[in-house]
Amino acid sequence: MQRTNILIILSAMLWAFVSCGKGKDPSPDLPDWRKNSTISIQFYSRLSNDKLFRTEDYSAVISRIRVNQNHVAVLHRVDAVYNLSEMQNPMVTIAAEAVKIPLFAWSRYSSAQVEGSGILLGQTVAEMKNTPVSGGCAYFSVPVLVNGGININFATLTFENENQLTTGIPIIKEKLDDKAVLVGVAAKTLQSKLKIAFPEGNYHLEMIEPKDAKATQVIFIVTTPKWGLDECKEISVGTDGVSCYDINIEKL
Amino acid sequence: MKENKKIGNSILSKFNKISWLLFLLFFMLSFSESKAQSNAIRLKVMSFNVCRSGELTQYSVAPFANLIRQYQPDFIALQELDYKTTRNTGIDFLTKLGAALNMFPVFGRTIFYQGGEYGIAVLSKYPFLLVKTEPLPSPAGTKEQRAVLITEIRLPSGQDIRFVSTHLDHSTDAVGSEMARALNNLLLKDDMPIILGGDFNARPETGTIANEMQSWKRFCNNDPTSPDNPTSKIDYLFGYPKEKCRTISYQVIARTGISDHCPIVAEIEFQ
Repeated sequence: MQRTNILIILSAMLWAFVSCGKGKDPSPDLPDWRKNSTISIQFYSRLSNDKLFRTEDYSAVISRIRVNQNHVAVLHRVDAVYNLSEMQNPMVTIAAEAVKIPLFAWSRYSSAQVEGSGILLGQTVAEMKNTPVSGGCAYFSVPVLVNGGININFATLTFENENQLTTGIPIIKEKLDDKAVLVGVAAKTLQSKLKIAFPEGNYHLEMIEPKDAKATQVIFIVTTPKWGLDECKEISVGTDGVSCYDINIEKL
Repeated sequence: MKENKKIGNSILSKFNKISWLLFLLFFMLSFSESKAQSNAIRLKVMSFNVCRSGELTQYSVAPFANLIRQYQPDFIALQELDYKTTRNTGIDFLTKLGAALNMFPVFGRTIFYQGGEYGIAVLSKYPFLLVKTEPLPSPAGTKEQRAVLITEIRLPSGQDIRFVSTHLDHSTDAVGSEMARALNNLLLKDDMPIILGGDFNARPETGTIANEMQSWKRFCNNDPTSPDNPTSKIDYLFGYPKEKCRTISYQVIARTGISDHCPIVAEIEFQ
């Protein structure tokens, strides 16, 4: 009788231990060997060259970042206002609520606004850099430590026109190595030029098209062939037209 | 009579020419002056040691945000920040303060501490182009690893500026001096305007300040900055290149009740 009780208690403890471990797992749906080689990115955007937020209600995005674990969350076009009378910085507000470290991928100043994307991480960083490419476009990169001790250089930028693309491609190529994972946004009209610039074999290029036919932009991913897109799901967040692209990129 | 009129006209025409020339000269001078003024960078900057990441406010950021908001600085150099330590109840004090002020925050870790991190920080109205935390040397006698947080910011005018926060060791003047020399080696490498704010743990007459910081313009005076009812000058705001910058106004904000240091704030200008 006593032995049975001990067995039950031990089984319960073992179950509890396994469950707790699972709750903290950043990639709970993946088998162990893949958890250590996959980067999960949440990319919030309208993909229409428009501000991410039209109101000051960020609750749906905050809630999703908090609940769904990720290594990097990108808030595309989370513009800030630096005018003293109406200062706003949604990226920092969201980071404080979602308990993330906020970094800003700067694109341009436009009257009293700063246009760019927020990069939210679960760790402090020792360095980051925005390299201006051409008017309204800058290459952002930050070293990030992800699962299993993998160091990556997460990078992002937005191409709105051909001039930015022409100037930006040599910069991307110069900075691209096996650590670099670039997740950017480009106007739909630039897709063919991106495919020519990053041919298969030398590079790994993925394009993610939004479901919304009215969207004018696509997400593009550039890495060396040592990385591959594992999966991407588009999810509508809140009721204001913001989408989140859950992107898993796997080290091959 | 005619001759006199001719002479008069000639004088008048010469006078007209001279006055036109003078007018032109004056116009050119005023134009060049206004151009120089438009190239000037005028900023409000602050340095503030927040005393063990807000220990005196029970780690609440609200009293700090309320105080800072009154002075509306463009950039703030902060010292003694905790990131998710046990003593600060696991919060990210800096991001919360940044959110309260709608400013861009960046944290520079100096040491791992109490299950989290401890270090220095910068808050900025404008986003950062570059951020880098560099460790400072730890010569014999150093009590604790120290660092410098270097940020570069492109202003809306298109000009770039380097804004830096640091917190030097308090053990001996020799240690402080070596850290200050390392600061100079890291920072004084080009002509980009630099603003350096921090708790130097050194009085103005020490070698750390009097000798090692000679290349810098001191935006502050020698009024004491620590503790809250201050008796000792150890917090500073410096500018570089020294011949290209000046202090417009400077203030020690004493007796705030929220730290054992007084925040210091200066309005400064770079030509």
